[in-house]
Amino acid sequence: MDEKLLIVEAQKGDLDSFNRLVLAYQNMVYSQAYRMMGEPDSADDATQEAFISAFNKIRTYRGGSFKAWLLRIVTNACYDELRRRKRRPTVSLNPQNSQDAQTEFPGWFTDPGEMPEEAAQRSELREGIESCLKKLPVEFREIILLVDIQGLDYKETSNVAGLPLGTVKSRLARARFRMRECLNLFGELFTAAHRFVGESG
Amino acid sequence: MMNEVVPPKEWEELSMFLDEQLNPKDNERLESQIQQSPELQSALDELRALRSLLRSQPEIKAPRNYSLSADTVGIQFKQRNVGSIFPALSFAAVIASLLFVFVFISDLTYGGPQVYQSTNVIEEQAEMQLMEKSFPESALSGEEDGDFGEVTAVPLEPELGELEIMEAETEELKSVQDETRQIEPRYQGESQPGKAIDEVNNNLPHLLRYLISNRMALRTLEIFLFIFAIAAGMGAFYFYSKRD
Repeated sequence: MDEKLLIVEAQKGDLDSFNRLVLAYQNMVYSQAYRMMGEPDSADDATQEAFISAFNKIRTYRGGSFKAWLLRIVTNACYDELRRRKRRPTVSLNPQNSQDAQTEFPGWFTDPGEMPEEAAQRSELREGIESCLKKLPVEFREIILLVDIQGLDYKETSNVAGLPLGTVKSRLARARFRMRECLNLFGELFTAAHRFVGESG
Repeated sequence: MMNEVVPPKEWEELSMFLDEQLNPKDNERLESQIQQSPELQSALDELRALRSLLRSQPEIKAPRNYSLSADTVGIQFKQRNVGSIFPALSFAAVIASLLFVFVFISDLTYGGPQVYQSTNVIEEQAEMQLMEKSFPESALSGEEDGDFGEVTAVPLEPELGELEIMEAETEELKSVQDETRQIEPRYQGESQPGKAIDEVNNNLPHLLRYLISNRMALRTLEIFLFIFAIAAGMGAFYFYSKRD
């Protein structure tokens, strides 16, 4: 069914229509939450809260990009979750290494059709990017996720983050600068990244 | 190889240049600078590669299905309602406390029914004067002396008819009423303690004037506000402690 039609039905209170939207967007929402929070338990909570909040607020949706609207909600849910975790710190049950990075990287990141060496290198690259994203301050992370990973333009990012356009521009530049510095620590990783990008592009 | 010679300001401009966010004039200027500077060109390449790399990151698969059930939404509605009770109760407690203090201070300041006593005294005096005009002292004293029979026994003058008597009585009554009406203006011109109090009373809201004049109602309101403030405060504390 058409997305707009599903939204209209959901605005009338139809939970089934809303759940079809959930199925269409849950990977995107969870990805944003995971990268914002940096660990799966908090991401899971934030995603659940985001969809409940989206259902409760869907009557306030007034057109435009539904993806951007959802991203705004999940971003707010992540900030709420971060505040809650700050008040009541929890210990993750997942194994972590000494650098506070998760050693178990999600299996779905690997492409089954890849050569083992290439897959390992690509996996290492993705792990490096995720690790560098995690090291960014959350206000920089939020912006680079919205622009460079979710593909929003500056104006949409400004609306989603509730920040002036100038702040978005400067935070994005600083986030990219820090990402480059971080990836530089991985040695040949960034060179490999050039190659992967060249292959995919 | 990483570029490390581009200052942050130029890096920010390069970032905006990459996303086509510079105005045409700055865009043209930076473009010519990039062509002349290998460092800027290298930094731009790195930025472009970084952006492409980030954009090529796959979505992370959700670990479970986040479809909502009616129960989940219902439970969340309840939790949201509980969450909204706390600010409402705390606001009500504050308002009730303020009202209680206001009413209590008003009660102490204006003195309740005593304030209206000054006005009541004036009204009683006016009524007394009216009585005196209607029934002269001689008549009253005659009644007291037991000469009432003599007064009633005085024969009417033959030339006055009943109609003329009634007219005379009406004129007399009017003159007494006029004098009575003049009591308040005369009182306003004088400097008496009751005047200031009555002016304050006149400036008070009607409800408050009623409450001040009715001590029972005032006490009831004070008790109600006190109990309400305490109950709302305790309720707010309860929901605050239950809040996540």
